[in-house]
Amino acid sequence: MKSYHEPIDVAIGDDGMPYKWRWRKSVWRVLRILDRWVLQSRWWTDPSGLEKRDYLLVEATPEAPRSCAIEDGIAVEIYLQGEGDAWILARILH
Amino acid sequence: MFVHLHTRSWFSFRAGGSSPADLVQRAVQLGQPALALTDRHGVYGTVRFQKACGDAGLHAILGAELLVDGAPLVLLARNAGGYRDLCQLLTRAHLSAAGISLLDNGEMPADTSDPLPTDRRDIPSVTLDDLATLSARLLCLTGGRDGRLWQLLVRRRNEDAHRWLATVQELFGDALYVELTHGLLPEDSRVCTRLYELAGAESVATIVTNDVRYATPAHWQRYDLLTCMRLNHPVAEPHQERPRNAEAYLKSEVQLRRLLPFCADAFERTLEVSERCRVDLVPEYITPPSANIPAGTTANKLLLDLCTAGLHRLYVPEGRARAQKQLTKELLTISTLELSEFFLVVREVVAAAKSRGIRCAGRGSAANSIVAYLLGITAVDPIRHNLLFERFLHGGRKGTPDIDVDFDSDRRDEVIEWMEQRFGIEQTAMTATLITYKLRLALRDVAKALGWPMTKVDELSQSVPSGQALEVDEHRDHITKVLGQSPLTELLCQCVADLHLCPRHLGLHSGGMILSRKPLSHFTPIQVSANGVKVVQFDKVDVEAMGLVKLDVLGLRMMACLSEGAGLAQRHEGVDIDFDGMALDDEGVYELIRSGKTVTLFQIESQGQMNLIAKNQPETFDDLVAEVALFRPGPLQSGMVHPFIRRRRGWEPVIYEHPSLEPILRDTYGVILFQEQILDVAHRFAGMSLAEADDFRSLMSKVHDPVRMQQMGVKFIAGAMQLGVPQGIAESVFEKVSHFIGYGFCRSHAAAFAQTVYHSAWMKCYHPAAHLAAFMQHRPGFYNLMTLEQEARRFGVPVLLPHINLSGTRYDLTRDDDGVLAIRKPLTAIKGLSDEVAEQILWARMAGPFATVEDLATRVFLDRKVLDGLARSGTLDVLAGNSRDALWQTGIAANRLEAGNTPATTSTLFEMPLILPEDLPDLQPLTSAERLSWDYKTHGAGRTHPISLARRQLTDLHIQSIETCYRCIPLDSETPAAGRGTRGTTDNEFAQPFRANSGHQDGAIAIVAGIVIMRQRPPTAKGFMFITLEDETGFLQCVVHPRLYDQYYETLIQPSIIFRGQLQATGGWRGIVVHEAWPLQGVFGGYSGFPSATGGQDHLDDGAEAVARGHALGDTPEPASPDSDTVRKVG
Repeated sequence: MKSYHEPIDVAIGDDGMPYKWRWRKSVWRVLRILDRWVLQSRWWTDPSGLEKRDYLLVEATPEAPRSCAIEDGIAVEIYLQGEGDAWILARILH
Repeated sequence: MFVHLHTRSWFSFRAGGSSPADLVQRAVQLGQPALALTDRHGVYGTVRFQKACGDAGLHAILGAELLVDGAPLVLLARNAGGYRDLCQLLTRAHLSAAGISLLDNGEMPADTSDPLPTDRRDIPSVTLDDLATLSARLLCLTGGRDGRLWQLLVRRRNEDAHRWLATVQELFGDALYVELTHGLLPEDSRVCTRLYELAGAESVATIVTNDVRYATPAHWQRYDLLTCMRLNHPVAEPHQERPRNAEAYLKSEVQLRRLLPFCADAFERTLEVSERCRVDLVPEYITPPSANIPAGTTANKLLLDLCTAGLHRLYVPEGRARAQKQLTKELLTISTLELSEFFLVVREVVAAAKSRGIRCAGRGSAANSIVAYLLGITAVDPIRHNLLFERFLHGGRKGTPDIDVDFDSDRRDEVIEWMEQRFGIEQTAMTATLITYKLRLALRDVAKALGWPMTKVDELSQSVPSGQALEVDEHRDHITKVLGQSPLTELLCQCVADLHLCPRHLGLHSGGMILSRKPLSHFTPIQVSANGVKVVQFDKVDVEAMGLVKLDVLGLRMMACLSEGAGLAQRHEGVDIDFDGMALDDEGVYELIRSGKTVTLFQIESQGQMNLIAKNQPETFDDLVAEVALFRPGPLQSGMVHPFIRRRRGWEPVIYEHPSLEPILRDTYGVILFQEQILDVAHRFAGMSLAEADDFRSLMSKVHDPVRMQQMGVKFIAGAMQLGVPQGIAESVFEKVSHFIGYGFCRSHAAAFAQTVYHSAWMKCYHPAAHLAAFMQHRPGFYNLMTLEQEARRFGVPVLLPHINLSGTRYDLTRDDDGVLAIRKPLTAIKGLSDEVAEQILWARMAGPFATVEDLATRVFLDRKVLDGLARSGTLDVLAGNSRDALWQTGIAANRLEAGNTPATTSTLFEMPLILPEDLPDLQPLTSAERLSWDYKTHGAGRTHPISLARRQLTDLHIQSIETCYRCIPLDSETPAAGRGTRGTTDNEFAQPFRANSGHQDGAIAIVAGIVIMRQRPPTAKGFMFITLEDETGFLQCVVHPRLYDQYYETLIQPSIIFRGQLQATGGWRGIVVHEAWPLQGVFGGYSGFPSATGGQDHLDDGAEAVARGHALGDTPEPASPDSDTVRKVG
C-alpha cells in the first residue's frame, strides 16, 4: 500500500460515479466500486461548510499506452474533497 | 413504504441530537407513516414523542435501546403489556447499576436507601436470562453498528455470530429482526451483505434501519458537540465514540435503497414491524390512588360528610351560608372531574402526619379551595381572604390539581415512608425533573469542549447571570471580554444558543411524589437517585399527561424551626403554643415586623424586604399577605410595587382604568398583585373562558414567548372590546398584564405563607430565645451564624459557647448566671465534630461529668482533630481553665494515647496519669485576636464582633458605627393618609436632619465600616449591587451604582469594607448610597466566616501606627514591616 493524496481529473458517469480519471499522465479506468464511505470533521474550524470527504474504494486499472493492457484491477482509494469537484487519489492498495 | 425503527432523540441525554418533535416533523416531511423512538437506557421522551406523533397524525412506536450482556439491543413494545415488560427490564438495568437487586418476584425492594454512588455505577444493563422471562411481548432488533452481531462480523468471528444469533432467536422467535444499517462508513457494505446472508442462513428476518442519532444533517454538529461534552473530551481531538460523518439522520427510503440495493424485502418489512406495535401512553383519564373508603359509602359521599363536619367546626352559624354555597359549588366540580378520591387521599396523608405531631400546611393554589380547608389540608380560610377557587380547579382544567404540602423538614422522610407503606412500594416514587441546558451550564460545557482553559471557563460561567441559552447574544460583549476576541467566541455563542431546551440529565424533583393505583412499572421504569430515592423517568408535565397523580411533599425548614421552637418554649418556659389556633392580629407582632428587625422571620428577612416593609408598614394580616406577594419577580418587573405602596399609604389616589376592573383590583388598590387577578382580568375584563383565562395566566407567569404573547394579546384586546371596553384602554391593560412576567404568587399561596411569617414573628416577639435557638439549629434563612448570634444578643439573648459537660447535640436553652434564658451551642456546632462523635461524648458523660482533659481523653475515643477543635473552641475551658491550656493538654493526651496504643505499653497506660503536672507550662492567655480567630475556625462565630477589635482606630478615623445611622430622624416628604411612617429617637448624630426616601442628594453623609455579610447583584436590579455590612452594633444595606461597580470592583469583593455615602432612611430601615469605598484591612470575618474570606491567613494591624503617622483615610496603607511590634500573625 502506498499513500499519495494527489489531485486527479475525474470523469463522472450518468450514475454520478467516476468511471475514469487522469493521474500523472496515465488514465485509469474504474472496473467496479468496492466500497463507499464518507468522513466529516472539523466543523469548529470550517465555518464555510463541513470538512467532508466522500471516499470510494474502487477496483481500477491504468490504461497502458502500448498494447499490453492490465485486465486485473488494483484497489485504489480516491475521495471527493468538500462539496466541489476536487478529487484526490489517496492510496493504492496493491 | 418505509419506517425508521431505530431512532434516538436528545432524551438519550447527550447521545442524541434532536428533539422528538424535530424527528416527527422530519418523518412527516419524508411521508413516512410511523416512527419508533428508541432512546438509550430509558423511555424518557416517549410521552412528548407520542404527543408529537398524535398531533402530526403519525403512528408512534415505543421502545428503547437496552444493554444486554454489555451490547445494545433495540426492544419495541408490541402492546401495553410489552411496554410494561420494557419498563421492568429498564428498572432492573438501572437498579442493578446502582447495586440494588429486585426481589425474586420481580418487585421493588422496600429499602433502596443505600445505592452505589453515581460515579461508581456501571452503565445500566441486563442479561439474556433477564430477557428470557420478559420477551414475549417485545420485538427485538439486533442493535445496529454497536450491536454484538455487527461487532462479531467486523472481527470476522462468523461462527460466534451464528451462535449468538441462534441464542437470541430462541428467546424471541419470529419477533427478532437483524438490522441492516449502512451509515456510509468503511466496511458497512461488506458487513451489511454478510448480515443479510447470516440472517438468511438462520431464518431470521431482516429490516433496514439507519441507527438514527438526529433528525437532519444540520443537527449533526450539535450531536457531535453533545458527544464531546458527555465524554468530557475536547472537540479538537478524535475519540472512537464520536461520529465520523453526518449520515446518521432520518433518511428517505430512496437514499437508503441506493445504499442497500440488494435487500428490498428488508425495507417492506419495516412497515410490517410497525403494524405489530400498538401502545397508547396518554390516556384521557386520571388514575388516582385508592382512598380508604369504608364499606357502604362512596368517595363523593365520604367527601361531603367530612366537609360538612369541617364546616360546622370551622365556621360560626352566622358565617356558614356563604361557605356552604362555595362548598356545594366546589363539590360539584370535584365530582364532575372525578377527583373526590384524590382529595380523600391527600387528607389521609395530612391527617397521618398531624397524628404523629409533624407540622404541616398545604399551600399553593390548593389554598383557594374550601374543600381543602375543611379537610384540614390547608389552614387558609378562602372565604375570609376572598380566594378564587377557579385558580385551583375548574371544569375546563385538564389533569390533576396541584397540591403542595409543606412538612417539617426534619420529619419529611417519615411522611414519605408512611406513604410508601400505605400506598405500596410499587405504587410510589418521586417525579424526575428534566435538567436542560440553560445559559450558564451551556456556556460552561461548550467552552470546555471548545478547548478554553478551566480558569477561563470558571470565570465565564460564574460571571454571567442565570438565563436561557437563547439569550447568549445579550452577553456577547461580556463573553468576548472574558475569553478574548476570536472566531471561536462566535462559534461558542452559536453552539450555546443551539442548545436551548436540550436535556442534559435527569434530576430529582424536590418533592413531587407519585401515588398510583397500579404499580408504577405499568407506566415508567424506576431509577434510584444518588440518595437512594426511587424516581420515575418522567417530569411532572409528562407524569400528568399519563394521568398519574402527584402530591408535592415538601420539607420546609421553617416548619421544623417552628416545631423545635415550640418544643423549647414548652420545656424551658412552660408554655404550650398552638400555631393553628392562634389569632393573627397581635399588635406586638406587627410592631416587630414594622421595625424592620426581621432577621429570622420567614420570607421577610432579606434587605430588600426590610426596605419594602419600611415603606409598606404592614398593620394587618392582609397587609402581610400583600407584603409576601409584592417582593416577587412578577410584581417587581411589572412595576406594580411602588404604585401599590403609594396608594396604600395614601400618597396617590387609587384609579381604575376601567370600571370593570374595580371589583377585581379593589383590595389591591387598583394594581395587579396576584396571579388570580390575571385570571380574573382575562375572564371578566377580556371575556375569556375560564380554561382560556387559566392558560393566559399560566403564559404570563412563565418564560416569555413573544409569538404566543402576541396571539394572546390580540385575543385579549378583541375580547375586551367586544365587552364594550375602548381599544386604547384594552391595550393599556394588556400592556400592564403582559409585564407580569416571571413567577408571581397566587393569593392563596401568599396567604398560606403569610401565616408562617406571622408565626415566626410571633415566636421572635414573645419567645426570642426559643425561636433563635431553633433557627440556629435548622438555619432556614440565609444569614450566617455570626449574624444570627449578633441578632440574638441584640434581642437580649446571650449565646453560650459549647460546654463539654452541658452541651448536647442540638441548640438548647439554659438559664445563665443572671437567670436570663440563653442559647447553649451544641457540641455539633464545632467544625469536624459529627453527630456520631457528639453522641459518643454524651453516652460517656452519662457516667458522670468530665473532670479534666485527661478524663475526657481516656473515657471517649476522640481523634486528634476533634480534640483540637474542642480545645480551640473553648468547650474545654471548664476543664483546663482556658483554651490555650486546653489545647496543650489535648495535644499531650493525643500524643500519649497514640504512642500507648500497643500491647507492650498498655499496662503503662493504666498505671500512670496521661498528663502530668510537669507537662503543664505557664502559657500566655490568648489575645483577643487569637480568641476571635479560634472561635471562627471552630464554631463559625466569635464571642465578640471582629469590628469591635478595631473600633478605637475606626473612631479615630471618624468612621461611625452602623447603629448611629439608625439614630437619625427621617423626614417623610408626604403626609401619610393610610398606614404610618415611624420616627426615630431624638439623638441625632448628624449635622442636620435629612429627607427620607427622596432618592436625591440632600441626605447626610456617613462613613461606616464592617464585614460583608451579603453581596447581591440581582438580574432585576439593572446592574446595581447591594452589599450588607455588619459591625458590632448592627447591619446596613449599601447600594452601589453600576457606574461605581467597575471602578471599585476589587474593593467590593473584599471581606470587609469602608463605605462613604449618603444615608437613606425610610421608617425603620437605613441604607447608604455609596460614593466611595476602601478595603478595610486587617479585620477578620467576611461572608464565609473564616479568618480571611479571600483565603490564607489574615494579620491584624491594630492601626495605631497609621494614626500616629497622621495618615488620612483613603491613603494607600504602607505595607506592614515584618519586624513591626504591632503586626502579629494570628490564626
